[in-house]
Amino acid sequence: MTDDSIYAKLLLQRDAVNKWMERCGVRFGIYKNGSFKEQIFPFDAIPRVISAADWQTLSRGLAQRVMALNAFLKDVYTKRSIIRDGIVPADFVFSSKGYLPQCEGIIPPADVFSHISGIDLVQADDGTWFVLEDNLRVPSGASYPLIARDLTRKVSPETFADASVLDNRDYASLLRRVLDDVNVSSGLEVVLTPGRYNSAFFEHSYLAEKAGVVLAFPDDIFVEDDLVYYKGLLNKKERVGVIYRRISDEFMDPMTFEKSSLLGIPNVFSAYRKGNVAIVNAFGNGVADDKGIYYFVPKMVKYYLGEEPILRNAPTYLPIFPDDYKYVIDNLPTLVIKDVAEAGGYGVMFGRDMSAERLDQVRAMIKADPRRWIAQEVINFIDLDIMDGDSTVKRKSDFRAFVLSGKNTEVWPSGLTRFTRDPKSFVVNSSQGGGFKDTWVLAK
Amino acid sequence: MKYLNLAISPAKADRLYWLGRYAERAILSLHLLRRYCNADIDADSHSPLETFATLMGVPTAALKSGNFVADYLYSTENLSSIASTLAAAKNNAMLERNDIKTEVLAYVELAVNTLEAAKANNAGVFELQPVSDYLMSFWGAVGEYVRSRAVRNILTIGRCVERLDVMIRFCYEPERIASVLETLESVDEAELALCDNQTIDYLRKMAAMPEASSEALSKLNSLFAA
Repeated sequence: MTDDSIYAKLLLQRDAVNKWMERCGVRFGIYKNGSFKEQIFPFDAIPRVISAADWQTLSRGLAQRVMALNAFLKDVYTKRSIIRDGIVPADFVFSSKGYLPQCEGIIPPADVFSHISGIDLVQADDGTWFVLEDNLRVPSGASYPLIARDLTRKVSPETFADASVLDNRDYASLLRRVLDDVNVSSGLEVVLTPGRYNSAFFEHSYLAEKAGVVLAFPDDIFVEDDLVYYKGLLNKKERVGVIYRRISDEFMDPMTFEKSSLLGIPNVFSAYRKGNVAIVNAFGNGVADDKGIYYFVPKMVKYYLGEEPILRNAPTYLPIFPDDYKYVIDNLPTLVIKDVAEAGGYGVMFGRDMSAERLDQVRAMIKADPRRWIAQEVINFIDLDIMDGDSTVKRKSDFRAFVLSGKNTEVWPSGLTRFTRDPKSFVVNSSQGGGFKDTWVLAK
Repeated sequence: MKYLNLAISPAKADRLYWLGRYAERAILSLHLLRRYCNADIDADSHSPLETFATLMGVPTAALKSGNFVADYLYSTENLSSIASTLAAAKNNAMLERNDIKTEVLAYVELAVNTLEAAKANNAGVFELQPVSDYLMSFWGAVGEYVRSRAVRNILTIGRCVERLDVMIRFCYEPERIASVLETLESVDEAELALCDNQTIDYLRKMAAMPEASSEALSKLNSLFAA
């Protein structure tokens, strides 16, 4: 950081920003040692700055990727041409935990499966961006840079008068437009939250507030004759046209999925199947953001769009392929191994951190169930400056971009930058103690 | 019914009602505690704090140890304390952020944070005026930011019911009690009808016969919980 950085004036006000965060209750929940705690999400005032040129490439690449993923989802639940044509092995689709046979033949309103896509990227030392993973089920995090920008503009307006930063405060409008685009029967639009003990409850309530839609809890919604209703006062009911659900597929409907779920809405899947309600994001998207399917996304771009992929995947190996299996077993100490069934930074193992004994155990696990694992080269991604008291230190970070798809596909000119506070760690997830930054996209 | 916002579920209405009650209870508790602590300065044979505790219906065990005020202000184990009351207000406010707006919720957060800081400094009740100020600001902000008339009305019902309860317990003048009833009666009939047709009768009964308060309160508290 230098005194002439474009965010220098903002840094002088960083305590004020954090006070505003506290005042506005910007928190996330975390379960630790069996108990739930809410804590302030540590905010670092130094933004990640993305140049206009970088953003031009990134935004085109992100839109391209999400369009291909939406085409893939429609295809695998209907014609399955990508499997027939040998681009993606059938086993990878049908053995994915995210593949829901119940969704076969269902095409959601406006043909959109992934309305809110969170694409995680990192930037390598040489400036190249790599996609690390696609999150097409319930990606969270947009609310944090959204409120951070609102508050930083409040405490340091001169920073934004001097710097030419694209405004990101239209996220709620973009979200609302998506909900309007897919709304069935002009019904009520709701954000469905599992409740305040969900780690992202702040986000659920804040997005509902800013988008001007109803925040609903599971008990507020019911299904009658395959139509979805919001339970009003005096036994009144109001038709629901779209549910922006923040609950995983398996818990959404105890009549179709996990029978013990208390969070779901009985029979909502049946209403969805009949086209009587839009679900954002659609059921069954997990098949496309499976860590194994990730390997095939560049191929999907070529297959569905007939275009060269603009964004690159991190170099990835699938042990189910014999050549990749051999490479992974031979090079395990230099690779990062990921369990395809895990998320949130869990199930990630770095070969370099393992003892010889542990490496052998992991080799055995890969041998026993090669479909369960992927391996990636460790990308030496750029360290970002974060404030540590009055000085700065370098820490690992990633970037989650948000792509919103309704009648059009739009990339939000911002995103969530997460960083690790542990100097030795590459894991940036908030659930594992990381903090966040605003992401500035420069206009010129 | 003139007006009814159907996007208010019974559970939401219940939370708004209790947010109104808890926020108002914190204001009144602080106000009355200050008044009785002030009287305690000149007290000789009688104990104003004991009177306060009895009228408020809160545990009196801490009176003997001389720790009543700190316990009533800050104890998180004492469910009647100001800290517990504010925590309950915050719990309801957090869940209703999208209806009351972040700007309004912020005043509850500020009151809670200020009380926690005061606890860390062993501050006395006379140093807690900022907590009262934030809570009064909360009510001002409700009028300013909350767009839904139904939401404002339900908050107001909670506020008025709490005021009536406390004012009756502390034997306020009939004119003051009548003015709260008047405010309550000015709430749109749609929301009052949510209660049921006997609501106002119950409230009137509370004002006229303090001994009926307990039954009336129980009835009122169950209005939105259906």
